[in-house]
This record gives sequence, C-alpha cells and structure tokens, in this order.
Amino acid sequence: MSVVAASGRPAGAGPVARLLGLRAAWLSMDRNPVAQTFAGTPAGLAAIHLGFFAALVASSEFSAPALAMIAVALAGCAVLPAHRKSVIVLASLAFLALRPFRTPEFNDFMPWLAGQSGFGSATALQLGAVAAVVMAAFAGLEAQRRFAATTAAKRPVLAQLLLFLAALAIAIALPAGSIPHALLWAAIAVWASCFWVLAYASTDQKSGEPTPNAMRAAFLRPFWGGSATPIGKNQGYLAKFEARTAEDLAVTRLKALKLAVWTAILALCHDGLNHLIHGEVGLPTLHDAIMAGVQGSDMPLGARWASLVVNYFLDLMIIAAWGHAIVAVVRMAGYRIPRNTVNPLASRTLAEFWNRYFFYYKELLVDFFFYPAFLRWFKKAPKLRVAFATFAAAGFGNFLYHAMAETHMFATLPWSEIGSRLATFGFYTLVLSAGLIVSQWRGVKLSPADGFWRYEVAPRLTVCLFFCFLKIFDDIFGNGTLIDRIAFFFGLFGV
Amino acid sequence: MSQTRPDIRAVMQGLLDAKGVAGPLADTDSLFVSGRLDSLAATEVLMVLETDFGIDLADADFDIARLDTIADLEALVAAKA
Repeated sequence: MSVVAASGRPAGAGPVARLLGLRAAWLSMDRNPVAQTFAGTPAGLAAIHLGFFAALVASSEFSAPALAMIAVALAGCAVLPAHRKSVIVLASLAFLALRPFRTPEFNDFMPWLAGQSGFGSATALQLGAVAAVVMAAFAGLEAQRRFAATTAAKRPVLAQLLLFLAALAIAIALPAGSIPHALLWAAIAVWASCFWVLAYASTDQKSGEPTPNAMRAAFLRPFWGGSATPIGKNQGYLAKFEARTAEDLAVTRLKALKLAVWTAILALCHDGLNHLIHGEVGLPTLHDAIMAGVQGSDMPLGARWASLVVNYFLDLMIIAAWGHAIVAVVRMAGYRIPRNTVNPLASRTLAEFWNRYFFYYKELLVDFFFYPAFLRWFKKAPKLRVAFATFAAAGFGNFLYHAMAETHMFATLPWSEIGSRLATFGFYTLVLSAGLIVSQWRGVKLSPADGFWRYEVAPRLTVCLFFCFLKIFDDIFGNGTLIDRIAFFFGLFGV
Repeated sequence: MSQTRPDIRAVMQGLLDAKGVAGPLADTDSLFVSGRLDSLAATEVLMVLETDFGIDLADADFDIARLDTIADLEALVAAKA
C-alpha cells in the first residue's frame, strides 16, 4: 500500500486492487474476529446457510432431492448442535433407504431384478435389501465386538471381503429369474455400495472408538453423498475434526461457506469451458475421440492431442468441484475435515498427484491395502516392499474397488463382455501401479536450487503427461476394447 | 523415554521439512490424519520403528492411527522398551 502510482494516487485505490482486497478479505474471513462473531449469531447462522445453499444450487453438484435431504440434515445440526451425531446418523439412514446406490447402473438394476423374477415392486425389493444389509451390518459389528480375539475380528475388512465374494459366487450360481436370485442380488447391490463405509466402521470399532454399533450400522450412506468412497471415513475420523466449541463451529461453518462458493465457481467454469470447447468449438471429448477410432473415422492428430489435454484439465475441475461440494457439507455439519482435492497441478511426483487429486480414495487404498501389505511382506527388501505394497493398493485394491462398484455386471452381462471391461481397467491399474512404483523408487527430491525448469516445470509436465495418457485407459464401462484404446494411444504419435 | 524423544521428533521434523510443512510441532499434533504427512512418509516412520526400535507392526491388531502424533509414537516406543 505504500507504493504510489504515477498519477499520485495510492496504487491500492484502483479497481483491480480493490477486487484483490475483497478477495483477500473473503479468503481470510474465517480468521476475521468480526466474521467469526457474526457467524455465531442467529442472523449470521441464517446468512451463512442461505449463502451456502445458494452456492450449492449454483454448482449443480447435487440433485434437488439430495439438496432437500442435506438442507433438512444441516438444519437439524444447526438447531441441535449437541445432538449433531444423532441427526447425522438418522439423516444418513433415511438417505440409505431412499437412495442406496451410487451409480445409475445400480439404480436401474433393481427394476431389472424385480421384473426378471416377477417379484413385483422394485421399491419393496430395494427397501427389503437395505433393511437386510443394515441388520447384517449390525450383526457383523456385534460379532466383531463380542469375539474380538478372533482372526476375523482382527482382520474385519478381509473377513468382510471373503463373505462378499462367497455371496457373489452363490448369487452367480443361482438360476436367473428366481426369487432367491433377485433377493440375493438386491442385497449384494446394497452391500457393494456400502462395503467401504462398513469396512471403515469395523476398523473404527477395532481402534476402540466408542460409537454404539447400532449407530455405525445406520451410518452406511452418509447424507452428504458421494461415491462408494467414504468421504470423512468413519466416526473416529470425523471426531478428530469435530468443532468442540461455539467459536470453532463458527470458523468451521465459515470455511464451509468459502468452499461451497469455490465449488460453484469451479463447477460453473467447468460447465462454461465444456460448452465452449466441446459445444461451440466442436472439439470431440476424449471418449468421442477414442470411439471415433473404433468406428473407423479418422481425426486430425492435433484434435486428438487437444481432446486428451482438455479432458485432463476438465476432469481435474469436475473432480475438485465434486469433492469440494461434499467436504463443504461435512464442514457445515461441524467437522473440519481435509479437502478431497488440493491443488493437484502443484504435484511434482505421481505419488503426490495421487494424494492431491482424490485424497479419500487414496486413503481408502492406503488404509486397506497399502499398509497391511507394507507391514507384512518383503521386510528385508525395501524396494520390493514398497513396490508390492504400492501394487496391492493402486493395482489390486484399485481394481477390486472398481469391479465391486460394477458388481451388477456379473448378473447382467455375458462373461466375454465382463472380461473385456475388466481387461481395460486391469491394464489401467497396472500402468498406474508401475508409474507409482517407479516414482517412489526414484525418490527424487528437487529443490529451487535445481533451477526453474527442473524444479517448477519439468516434474509437473511429466506428471501431467502421465495422467493424460493414463486417462485413455480409465474405463470399466465397455466403451471400446483395450486394443482400441492402445490404438488411440499410438495414434497420438502417428503410429 | 527421554532418550527416544529426540530421535522420533527429529525423524518427524525431518519428514515435515522435506514436505515443506512449516510451523512448530506439538506432541499431540496430528501428523497423518491431518494430512500434514502422507502415506509415503508413514512408510519411512514404520521403517524407522522397525530398524531403530525393533518394533514389529505386522500384528493384525495394529492400527496405523496409533502413529498419528509424537506422543503416540513415544508411547509405542515406551511400551516396547
């Protein structure tokens, strides 16, 4: 502010400086005592919630029914802050009953099962499956508590996985169109959607977290939504970030508001760029570019590269907006959990990108696959140890997660098509694992002394290119075969 | 316990410095859950515990959250001593 412009006026008085000042004030809002005090008043609480929902509506990250559910739950948290946990569990149970699935494919699966078996009502089938899974989850958690010394109780995720695979094998063996087939597949569909939340609930219990099992079993579908990856993990994790005082709660809500507004900005920018680039300019999406090759039509080399790079940046924007929206809701409920995406473009290594791009999914893979493998295998060979644990997480765990998220295909598709889908995604996980292993083996620690290009540009460009190429193979929906995608990759180099 | 404190603290401070995380570190500050350090840093801590303190963490009962603070690490080392 001490700088004086040529006109004699303080440089800070210009419109740009004023805008920058407003931006700085907005970003530091949660550290501003006046804003904190206001946020703790009834008027402040109402204003924050109003702004928060306006931002969420503008972001289009939630459907209208999901927003209504979130509004009711957050109103409950605001009115009954001392009973926040009960409100959240009840809202989550209602959300599970109404919308147990994370994907449209699973939503369509219930009517398909009901129609094929002559069960009649898909809604009744779905509600019955939800009730069965909640009761089974409670029984499983109680068994873990009562028989804590058993191997199954100490290795609850592995035990759950083996049970799930056994149920899947039985379901595949049952005659299609029968009532038992429909009932078991309906339960598997709900179970697959809640598997990782239940896994976190069981590790929570193992660590001694005191939440009653009835509450854990009711919290299989957090009302803030998301994929099968639990954002906010479990009650123990949430408790570590819970606002304990009125002042802390005010700060947490201000942070939630800021994140919701940033969500809206990102989502609107994404939608605008998507419309401009793929609509007005007419550049094909990466999916369309790959499928154009499958259908035999040729695309200019420049357009292929442009589709690839644009896909990378738009994907980053939409993943960030999606994760921010969910984290913002968790924060507004009173838990200041870390963001899901934190400036992935700053990553200098593949492992760092993985951590910054989708934090809670990376955590899931690390918690349930990386650590268990790292702690048990190849202790005498450090490089092999890291490689095996990385493959267990980014390879095996990643593959298993996605195959489970598409479990319905084992009921609806022929084995040849399932094999084709899994081959493409299997290749994706292999390449990702290999990249991460090499990245960790190299362990290059750069510093600014290495120069601008070597420190600031080259590593980021390498990370960007790797994930651009990797996205070509990120498909489990059967859009083209693995060979088609490999052909697209080589086509980028004129081969 | 006083003998282990500089070692554990130095290891953690070294990891934080390498990641560019500034600021003082209290004994009860969360290291991994808070996102200060990532899983790669955790593997380094695990290896230090194994090689320097002879602590085998492969037991099925082990929970990675037990390593989340300097105080946790010290308690783990003290229990082994």
